[in-house]
Amino acid sequence: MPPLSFRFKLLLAMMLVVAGATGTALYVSQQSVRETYQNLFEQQSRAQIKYFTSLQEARLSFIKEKCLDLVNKSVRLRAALQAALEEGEAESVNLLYTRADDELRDVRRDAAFVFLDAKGRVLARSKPDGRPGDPADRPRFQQQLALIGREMSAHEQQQVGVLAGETPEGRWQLQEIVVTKVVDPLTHQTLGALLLAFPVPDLWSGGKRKTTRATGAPRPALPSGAIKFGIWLDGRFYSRDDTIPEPLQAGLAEKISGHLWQEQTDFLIWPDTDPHRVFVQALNPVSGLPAAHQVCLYSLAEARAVQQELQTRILIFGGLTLLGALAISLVLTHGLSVPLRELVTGTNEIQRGNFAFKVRVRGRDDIGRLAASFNDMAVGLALKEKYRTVLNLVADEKVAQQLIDNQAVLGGELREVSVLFCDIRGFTALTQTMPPELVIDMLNEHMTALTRVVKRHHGVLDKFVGDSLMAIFGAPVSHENDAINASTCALDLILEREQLNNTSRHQLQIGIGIATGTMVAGCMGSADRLNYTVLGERVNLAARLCSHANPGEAIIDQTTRERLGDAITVTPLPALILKGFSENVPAYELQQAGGTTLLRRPIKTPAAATVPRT
Amino acid sequence: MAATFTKVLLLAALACPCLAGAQAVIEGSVALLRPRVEPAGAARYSGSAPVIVASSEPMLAVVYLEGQFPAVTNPPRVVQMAQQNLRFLPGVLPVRKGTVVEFPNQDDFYHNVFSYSKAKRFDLGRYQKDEKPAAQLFDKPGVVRVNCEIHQQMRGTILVLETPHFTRTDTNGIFRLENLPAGKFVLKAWLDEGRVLERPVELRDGARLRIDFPGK
Repeated sequence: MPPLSFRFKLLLAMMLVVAGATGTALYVSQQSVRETYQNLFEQQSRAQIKYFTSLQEARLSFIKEKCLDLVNKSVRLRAALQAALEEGEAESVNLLYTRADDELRDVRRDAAFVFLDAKGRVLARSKPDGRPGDPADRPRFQQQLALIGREMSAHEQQQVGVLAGETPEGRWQLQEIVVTKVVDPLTHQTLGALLLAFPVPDLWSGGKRKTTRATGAPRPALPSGAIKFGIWLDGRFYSRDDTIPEPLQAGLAEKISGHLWQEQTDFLIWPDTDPHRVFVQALNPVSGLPAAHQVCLYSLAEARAVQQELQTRILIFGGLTLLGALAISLVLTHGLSVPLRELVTGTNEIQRGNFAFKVRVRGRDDIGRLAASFNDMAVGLALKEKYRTVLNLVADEKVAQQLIDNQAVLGGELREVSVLFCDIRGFTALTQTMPPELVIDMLNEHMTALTRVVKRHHGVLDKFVGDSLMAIFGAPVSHENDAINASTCALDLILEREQLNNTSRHQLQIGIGIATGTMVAGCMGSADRLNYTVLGERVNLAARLCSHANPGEAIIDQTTRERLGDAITVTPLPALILKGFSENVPAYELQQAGGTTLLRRPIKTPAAATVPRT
Repeated sequence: MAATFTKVLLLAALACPCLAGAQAVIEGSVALLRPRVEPAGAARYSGSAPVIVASSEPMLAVVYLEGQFPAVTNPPRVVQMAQQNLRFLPGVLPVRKGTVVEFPNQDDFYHNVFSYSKAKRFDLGRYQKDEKPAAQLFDKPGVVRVNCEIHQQMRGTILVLETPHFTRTDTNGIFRLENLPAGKFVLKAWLDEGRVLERPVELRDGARLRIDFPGK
């Protein structure tokens, strides 16, 4: 993945934050709208069902009581029923109805009534009295009555329920019925039943009928048409306006049929695109009458519309917020990215060594402080670089590095080191007559060339003392073949000087001494001022061997000889008697590659040519 | 009262076509129905009717001989169905068509007698013990259920028959019909609840038949 710029990341973060906030708001609002509507619906449905039930109770309580009273106490009615049942003749049946007409005078009002025998068959009067709403004459109604009869003896003496019947105009009409069994008080045998049927006034808007509305139960204020209330009976929905769409009807049928929802239950039905929440409760859960349910239907379309609107608004606001957030982020990142770019440029410059580069400080905020610190840092770095350069000049690079790395502390270690001394033959005599500037020039030229050679051979330039140079091999770090390095360096030094003699104004001859041995290496001096050097008897030996060397000659000691092995050809010299050494010191002269001894050119300067071996 | 009784006897004597000569007799028994009294106060009947103690009188059967008999031309016989101790007594009363039945109230409170049966519909209203008992002529054959509108448990049945030869069984279902003419007839046993059992009989003078109507 390519690295993302800060600006891009910030924009991305802003988008995520705004999208998250919008999404959360959307979710919460939708949830709350749904819950609100659901609660509202549930409340209103409960109220509606309770209202209907209480209304029904109020409407029917008197009738129920009256029926019970009549059936249980009227000897005449029972006698007439018994006569009608026993004789089965039209006259007897008519007498029964006449009797009942009389007895039910104050109950009937708009009710129709019929008597059923113990099997639920209607005792039909021979001459219908032409009552228009008398449901007992209709076949459908009678079918349903037969259902009642089948289980008549198994249930309560009085049951309330609904039945559907066709009106003379062929419409379906819901009838509320009160079935009261007629039981012989002596034998407790069910003789038959009295059935009163009323059009359900709250559902049936027949117009002519005056509904007996109970007072006291205030009707809940329902938004008109929001909740459809009705009765579900035998696969049909009966309501005030009598119709619900076909898919809804089918959905209801699927959910309700076969169930008896004794408790109030609610569920969703989803016919096509118009979901409805349904609240349902059985009207007459424990009777033997056909199961009827009170149904409250509520279309979720309105709730969905509100949700939709809310969603649109939230999305618009979310979009606007996002735009705003993006604009702000752009401004912010612009304020950030320009100084950052400058800082990057500055860093690159410093990497290239341009410590003089300055970043523009634009303000006093974080970025401004960063730029100022950067500039301070650049100044600091420049200073350090300067110190380092100076340090490299005055000390060997490796030693300088160690000092910088804080590895060099006061104190030393025992190491095997090869020490090389190289001085100019006849220097004193040569320079006696020279002006000092010339001497410095000459020395600088000489030492610069020789220093390069020493460095090439991993030597550490310990110090310049007058015309001589001291280099060490094997400290502070060993290159394993330090003696060989020192020896080849010595041979190269001689060659280098010879080549320099060809081009330089000054003709100089050098002599070299090398000694190898264990010595103390380390920083020596005071805590304020250190010098990395080596100390030991071998250092003296090297110095002594150097002073013994003829011009163009390099003399090594026994240990160096041993370390060389076959790498470099050496010529044994007669053992030397050296100041400070009690015994004769064996010494060897290094031979240039090719097996011949060093070609010693005649030295133009007579003083340099006649340095005697002491 | 005594005069009335004499009149009844006289009428009975007149009604018999032929008192002289050897008459046939049928004896037998009828398997009576058990009174159908379900246990009262069953849990189901929440709004139930008041519990009423069933009449202790067993359900009797009426046995009668059906056939062609000369019509009654005499003044009607008068028999009584009393109202006593909140009961019709007798509970089942067979009478010949054209008989007048009186319903004397022998209790110390009001009673009423009415019937919705097709054979005779009447309502005698309410009356007391010392009032003149209401009477009713039964001129159509059939079963007449009589009730008292005041007292639910009072039930009576008057069986109006076309034949002069009838009797009630005793509480064991035993009956005896005497003074029967010779000829071919149908012997019927009427049980409550509208069940009628029948058996064709051929009677000769002086014959003694035994006929049992077994139960189901």
